[in-house]
Amino acid sequence: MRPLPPTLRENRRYVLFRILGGTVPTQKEVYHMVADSVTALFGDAGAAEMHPAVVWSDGDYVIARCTRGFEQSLIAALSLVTKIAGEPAAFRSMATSGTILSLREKVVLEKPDAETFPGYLCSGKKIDNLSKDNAHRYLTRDDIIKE
Amino acid sequence: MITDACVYANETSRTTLRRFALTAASCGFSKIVACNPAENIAEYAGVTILKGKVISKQTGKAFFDAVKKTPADTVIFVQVGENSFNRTAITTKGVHLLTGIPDIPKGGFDHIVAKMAAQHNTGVVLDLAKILDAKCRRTALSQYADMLAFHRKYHFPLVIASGAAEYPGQKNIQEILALTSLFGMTRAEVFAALNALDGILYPKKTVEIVEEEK
Repeated sequence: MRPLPPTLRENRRYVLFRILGGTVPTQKEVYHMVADSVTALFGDAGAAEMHPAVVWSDGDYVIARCTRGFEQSLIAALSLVTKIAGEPAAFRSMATSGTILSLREKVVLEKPDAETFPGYLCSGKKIDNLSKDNAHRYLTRDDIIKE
Repeated sequence: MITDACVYANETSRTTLRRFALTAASCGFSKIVACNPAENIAEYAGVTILKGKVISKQTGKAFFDAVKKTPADTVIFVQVGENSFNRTAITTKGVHLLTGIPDIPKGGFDHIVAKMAAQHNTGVVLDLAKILDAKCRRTALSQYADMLAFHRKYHFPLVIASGAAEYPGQKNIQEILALTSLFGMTRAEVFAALNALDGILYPKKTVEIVEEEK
């Protein structure tokens, strides 16, 4: 089938998400998570109407696409993700836009610092403990100083 | 003040209370209620932290004792149960909020309980963690839609809580708007619910001193 001419195509919106929880999945894994989550909440008919897709990902940032008017539904569907690879995680919606470029300008890639406190992964005031009972602990700098 | 009415920063949580407060600040909240907190912190990162206590369904005397023994500065949540228990909970002085709406038994919350909740200024908590849980999502959405219908008619306070046990469970305002739209809550209702806790904790008095005479 030939693609629709530009005037007949539906308008799209892009939503920037940040993955919280320390786990960084691949773009394919993110795509499957988005598809599963949208289908679980709105069903196949809703997903077909929404046209969700992952168009870009870098580190813990993801840009997802949907049909215009379905941004809130996409955010709601991705809010339901609670775990990635068995660890608590979440998709935090950061911004919505009509172009990928304007969203990419909002991305601030942080380089986690693992040297200030050995055994801890620091990012600004936030600190994730990597080695307590083989599970993550989520702290702040003030918690470390207190400990 | 935009408030997240319930986070569980207790000893089993892997997130510290400070981290909860830091995340709440980044999500646009200025106040959180920490239920059964492991630490005693009043403020962090510009977020006021209130202490909360969840009282589960108990028989008469044990319930009154639990309410009486709770310190005055603590927000008291009562886990809903049978209709008669809910009526008792609402009329008990010191009870601020009813929680656990998705687990409510059939007929547990009717128009009379709703009217009583409005008269006694007792809030009802809409716990978003129940929507995130796939097992009870359908029940939660349907119960919250019913609760919203009661709220629109009887005007008792509705309060929104993330019910997060770890920091990824906390939601920002956009996500709350998206999740609450699933059961038909409007933007104005969401913001009223996010600001409702202050009205429950510090209700308007019939006579108030506006300006003191010098």
